[in-house]
Amino acid sequence: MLEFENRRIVDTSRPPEVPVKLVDDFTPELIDVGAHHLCPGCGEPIAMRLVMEVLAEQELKNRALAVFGIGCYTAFSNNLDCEVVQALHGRAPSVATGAKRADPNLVTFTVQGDGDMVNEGLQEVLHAAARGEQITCVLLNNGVFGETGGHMTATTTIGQRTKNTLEGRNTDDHGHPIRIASLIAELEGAAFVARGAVNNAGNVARTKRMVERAIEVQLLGIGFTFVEILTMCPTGWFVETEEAPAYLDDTIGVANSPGVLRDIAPDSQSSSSTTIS
Amino acid sequence: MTTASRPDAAGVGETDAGSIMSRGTLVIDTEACKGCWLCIDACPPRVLEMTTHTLNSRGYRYPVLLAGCTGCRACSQICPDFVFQVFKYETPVIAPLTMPADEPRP
Repeated sequence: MLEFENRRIVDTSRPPEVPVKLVDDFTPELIDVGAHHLCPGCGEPIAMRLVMEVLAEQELKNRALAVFGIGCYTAFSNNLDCEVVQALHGRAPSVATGAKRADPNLVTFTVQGDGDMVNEGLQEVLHAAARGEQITCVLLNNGVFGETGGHMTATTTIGQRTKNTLEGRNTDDHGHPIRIASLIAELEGAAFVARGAVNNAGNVARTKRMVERAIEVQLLGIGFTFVEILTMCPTGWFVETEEAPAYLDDTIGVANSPGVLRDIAPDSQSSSSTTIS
Repeated sequence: MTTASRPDAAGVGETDAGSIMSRGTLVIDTEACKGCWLCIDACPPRVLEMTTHTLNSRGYRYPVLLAGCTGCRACSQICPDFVFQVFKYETPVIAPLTMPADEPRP
């Protein structure tokens, strides 16, 4: 790893004494506490960071309502400095629908995992999308039920080893995976559908622009918006943390290539589908 | 070694044989680190390195910063544990590239 013998180590215990500009604080404005109980190498705090950064940058913190599903990320909802509602397993899009209809001024987004959204509550998200509800659903997709031990979900890809598909998922026994973002992109009610990932710094920046765009489109009030974010789960995948980004590319990343799948909104001055993908 | 050994180090700007320019620097909250290595691979100029002999109080290895940081925020954006605070120097700092060989490394 060490490419330079005796490369000088910089003191990083305190801020430098010469004039500097702070470009990134430990936690963004809307995350109160950085400490959490998620595993080393988890992709979910990375995804939550970029969502909260977008809300802070667009000055929506007083209008934002997060609706959380059930999963590891639910524990992280305590760290957020915005209103949070806890929904039943898989039912977050319906709760968000109710909140948004009651107060159209809200910026409502759901945070759900693949087990929550695609296994437990598939009809909720599909009907919300088909109705064109003006909410944003954020899916943190890692292809396994991370919280309960790393077994197969509906998005686990063919050949992927999980705790209950030790020989790899096969279509004879377990059927085919559901590519949820592609499914929602077919629905007329959806205005913006994109798929990002957080397995490297470039993908994090790209995914942040997708979330930005999704919130923008929600504010236009022209339909349902959806961002799928592929996240690492080294604990549930039983791989080393440093191998997890490449493992993501080799498993769920193959069938679910990142990019903007649907964007019917008129172009705004910021990002458009051509610049994101 | 020279910059030729690091094809991804464009723009870091080694000024001459013995010194290197840093455009940015970090404060690292080593106690918050869970040792996942994501920052090591994310760093474009490759100036983060995991400790080899030192652990934090929770038993994890943590990253140390080598001279040559560009302040690009790749580490802070990828870190799941919010370990990094990123600063950019108003005037880039040019400092020695190496440290004495007998000084212990963490």
